[in-house]
Amino acid sequence: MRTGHATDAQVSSGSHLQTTTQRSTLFSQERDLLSTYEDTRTRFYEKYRHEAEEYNREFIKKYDEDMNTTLIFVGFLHVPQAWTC
Amino acid sequence: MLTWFTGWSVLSCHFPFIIQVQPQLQPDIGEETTALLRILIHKIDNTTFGDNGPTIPQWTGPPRAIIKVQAIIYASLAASLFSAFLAMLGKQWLNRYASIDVRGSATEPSQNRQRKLDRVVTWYFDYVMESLPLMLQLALLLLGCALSLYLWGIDTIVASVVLAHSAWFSTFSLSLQGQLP
Repeated sequence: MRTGHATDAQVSSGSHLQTTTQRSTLFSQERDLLSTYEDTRTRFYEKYRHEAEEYNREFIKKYDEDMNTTLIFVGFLHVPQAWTC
Repeated sequence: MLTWFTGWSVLSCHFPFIIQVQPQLQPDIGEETTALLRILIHKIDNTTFGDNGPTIPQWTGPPRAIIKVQAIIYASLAASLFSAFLAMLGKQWLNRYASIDVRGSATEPSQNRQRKLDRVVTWYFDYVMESLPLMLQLALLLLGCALSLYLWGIDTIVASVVLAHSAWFSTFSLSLQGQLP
């Protein structure tokens, strides 16, 4: 009985040790993966910002000028409309 | 600068003298006064207007043609006002879009920018903004129609000039629509 207990305890502590080692290995792997993921993400968004900058500038410029033209034209159009109404 | 000057001088100086549609929606006080004066003269001496004495004209509402003209002009006014309103909102939106309201390295501002772009796509910003010139052309076309209709009742020659120009403008803009990218 005693020996059996001891063996059980030894076995269990041994397996516990084993799992801890495995866990720490897993954890470090995860951390590595996570940092690689973060790196990829940061690099992606830096690229994104670089690409988006040009598109946004064009987009804003195009529509801003369109709006200005529309507003000026409506300003002109309102004179005859106001007088005929 | 030249366009501003020409536009303003032409529109603000010439139009007021040509068109006065609005007063015709209301009874003319001058007409009633003239009728009353005629009756007064008729009472003084019964010879001026012959045998049939003048009567006070009864106001039976504005003429049908004037109501039509007014309806078209107000439709045109509403269309152009609506497009101006949309343009104003669009400008405001663009300003908000251009502003950087999240500081950070690269990730947070980029995510914020993407969120704003998603909203622009969801609300069909491009389509609405592209439809503004069309709406303005519609307003101009309606104004041309109303002017021709009004002037047709006054003088056919003047009306045909206006009509010809309206037709020419609309054909031009229609054929130009196909050429736009």
